[in-house]
Amino acid sequence: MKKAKKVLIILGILIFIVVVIGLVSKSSKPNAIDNQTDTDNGTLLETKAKANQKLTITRDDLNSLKDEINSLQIENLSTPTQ
Amino acid sequence: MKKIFIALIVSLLFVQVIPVFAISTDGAWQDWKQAQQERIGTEVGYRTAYKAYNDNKTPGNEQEAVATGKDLLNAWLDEAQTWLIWKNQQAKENPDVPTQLKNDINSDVNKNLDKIEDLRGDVENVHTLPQGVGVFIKMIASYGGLVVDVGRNTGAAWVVIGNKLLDTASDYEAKLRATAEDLDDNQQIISALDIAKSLLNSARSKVNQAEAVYKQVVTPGQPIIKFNEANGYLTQARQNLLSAQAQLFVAFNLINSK
Repeated sequence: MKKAKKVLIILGILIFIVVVIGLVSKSSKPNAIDNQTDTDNGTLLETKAKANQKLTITRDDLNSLKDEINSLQIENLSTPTQ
Repeated sequence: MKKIFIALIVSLLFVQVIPVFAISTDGAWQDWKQAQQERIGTEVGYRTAYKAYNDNKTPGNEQEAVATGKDLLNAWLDEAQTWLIWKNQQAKENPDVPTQLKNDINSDVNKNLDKIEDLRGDVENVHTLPQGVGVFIKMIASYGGLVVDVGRNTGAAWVVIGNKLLDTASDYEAKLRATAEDLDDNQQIISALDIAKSLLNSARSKVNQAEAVYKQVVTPGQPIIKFNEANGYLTQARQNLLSAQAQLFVAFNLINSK
């Protein structure tokens, strides 16, 4: 019984390691392709890295700006009996 | 186990406390809506009593019409009072409204709440129907004043929010431009940013015009016309801001596609 428990724990750890490795390799894959493409043109890679480093705003920033502009509701003169 | 139990109790208490802080503006709004419902109810009572007096002009019917009329005048005052409190609360809880403006709004609201208290005294002294009509006319004048004060302050708050949005958009435009200037073949990006900048300048000018005109929402004068005119400028500024934001998005996507 004790031995079976030990085996289950080791199996669990192994599955966890496999899942983590899988996730890490999946997330790094597109970058690997990008890098391969970019290495064809060293100048482009350098320029892109420079641009991305300087770009301090995100798509979310621009979207939330739009939401804030839309939430500014300009209404008619309000009265207590509305 | 004991620690988990204590943590659970603390979390439950916290969850209970959050809505207490959250309801202040909502609570004020509900008070106003309730006062509105009560006013509608007293209106029905007054109309019925007044009709009975018109059909049969006995002293008893007149007293009933006066009593229900006073109830109605007080209900209108309750409605105006709760509305002012809600408007004040709304401004107080708005993080975009600067402290000075919050103080101005608070001062205007208090001035109008004092007027309401004076009018309550006038209502108390009504003993005949013509006296009631006299107080009603006085109320209409004060009512106009408080609506104008709230309108002017609301406009001022919109101007502050508009300027804040413009500052954010201008900051984004500058950041995108700084990035674009380091890129090769950036004409399309710079062109989108130039359009955005021009739209932002136009929006800034409209917001400034709106600010000047909202200040003219006063009595005596043409407060309603001025309020609508300022709203028009602000609506144009809002449209320019949205168009500028779209151009910033174009520039952002072009930078990312490089």
